Amino acid sequence: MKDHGKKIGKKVILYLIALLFLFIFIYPLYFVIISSLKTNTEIFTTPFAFPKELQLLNYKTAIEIGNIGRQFLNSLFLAIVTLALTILMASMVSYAISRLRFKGQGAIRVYFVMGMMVPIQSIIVPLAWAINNFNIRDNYLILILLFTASHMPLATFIITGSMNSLPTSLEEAAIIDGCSIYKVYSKIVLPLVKPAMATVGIFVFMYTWNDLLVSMVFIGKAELRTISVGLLNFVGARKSDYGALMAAIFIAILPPLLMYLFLQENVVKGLTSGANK
Amino acid sequence: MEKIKRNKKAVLCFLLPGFILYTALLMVPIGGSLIMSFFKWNGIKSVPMVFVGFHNFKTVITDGVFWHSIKNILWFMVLTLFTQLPIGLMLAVMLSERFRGYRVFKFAYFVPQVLSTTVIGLLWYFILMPTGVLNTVLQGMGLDHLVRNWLVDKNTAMTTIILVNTWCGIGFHMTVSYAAISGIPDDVMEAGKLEGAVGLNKVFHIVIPMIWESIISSIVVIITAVLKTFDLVYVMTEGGPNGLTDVPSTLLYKEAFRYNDFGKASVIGVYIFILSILFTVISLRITKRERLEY
Repeated sequence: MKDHGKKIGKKVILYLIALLFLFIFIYPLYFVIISSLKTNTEIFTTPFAFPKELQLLNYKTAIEIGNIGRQFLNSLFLAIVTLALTILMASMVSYAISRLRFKGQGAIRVYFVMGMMVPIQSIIVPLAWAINNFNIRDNYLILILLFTASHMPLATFIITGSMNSLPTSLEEAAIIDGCSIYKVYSKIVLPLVKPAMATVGIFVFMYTWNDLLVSMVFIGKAELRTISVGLLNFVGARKSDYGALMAAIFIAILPPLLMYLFLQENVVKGLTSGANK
Repeated sequence: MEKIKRNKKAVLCFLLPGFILYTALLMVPIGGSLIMSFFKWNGIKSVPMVFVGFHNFKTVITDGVFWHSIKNILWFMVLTLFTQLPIGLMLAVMLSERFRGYRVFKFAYFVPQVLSTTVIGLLWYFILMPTGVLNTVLQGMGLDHLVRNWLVDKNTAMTTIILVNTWCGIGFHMTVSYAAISGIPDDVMEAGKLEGAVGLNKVFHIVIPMIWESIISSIVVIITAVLKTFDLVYVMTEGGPNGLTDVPSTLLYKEAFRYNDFGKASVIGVYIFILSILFTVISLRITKRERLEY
């Protein structure tokens, strides 16, 4: 009987702690959503209550004055193209490292892993130099290539790992049957490493969508701004229009949030993949 | 078979595009950063770079502002290690009890990890600003003496930013630890139970030793991630007021794009790079030695 009571007591404490943390982690998100629908005075006087009247005007301001819609599309474009290019490049390099034979193979593997240690800030200054000297400011193509290069190490690491765990018998049989090495890569190996490519795709999308520093240095024109840079500018421009700022923030978190909602396990895997290096 | 795998043309086809891209846009710039740290340059194309030897290295290393940013980043590291990791581990242990609804909690705890640092910085800025949510709540509870300008007050500014960063990362370490705990074989847990290892005893004598590998990787992730911190500090305070919350990377950004001293900025970049390698090696060493004691 006493044991039973102790068990219930333990359960209660467990749930209390769990709920406390639930509040800590979810409240800021809740705050954004309700505040985006409130008037400015309402936001801080009743920071926990639902809005009395839905203020959709905030979203209108965010889109028309903050130009958040345009920035949303810019970031979406950059993230998707970067994702596709990173998967293509990294899977090709991984195939060479994992399956082909050449001199310096080990060194090449290490060379690609090394990049994981490079903090992006360390290359910001040479980048600024290149922007000035080669007139590449606002050049989306270069920006995409730059993002891709910075994601190559982790992407290659993940896909190589996945390829190494595959048996080679299927490919060897295909080669004996006269299949070219390019066909083996595209028709046999790639379909088998789809899960790894999904992991890579998700983390590349998230990191590109969330980038601030590189876009800040690289983009000058207002209409080319990414969503993070746009948000900061909007905050600077409309310092006390909190409702509209919250609406803009909510628009900015929608894609990652929806992705997490629908692809939960994959997103968790993608975002924690850096931990296994 | 071997002959096909050794086909030079195929190797080049697969390797070269990625290799060139990665080398030209990541590795060459790193070298460029090192070279630029020996020059004085104000970022204007028509103004030539002037070779100044180790001058920039000396100015940075004798600069109180730089050391202040180092102090901040070390405090950042220590506080993050002692909050993010234990709380993440605690939640992981809790969730591995698999109580009813644990999946919902697990889902919710990871949410901050999905949001961008820019968004998180702005969000918490609105919660922490003088007229923000936190102060409103404190006043409502009659705790007026606790009300302050959290991000300006020199006693709270840096620590507040660090705790916001802790908030972001707990879900990451919870997930990594949870996966590791799920991998502990059942018979180990059973044997522990028979020996009387329950509650905290179980955590310290079974769980932590069994998932030590994952804890090490968490420690390394925290250290390297903290060194790369830029967005959060930049968004919340821009390193201000008056350099109070500067970390090396915000200092680098300001030197380059506000004061137009690209040489000095490069040097800070080089120092960040060296620190990042140094700390990774040190943390791997320390954690390896500790592992041998088990």
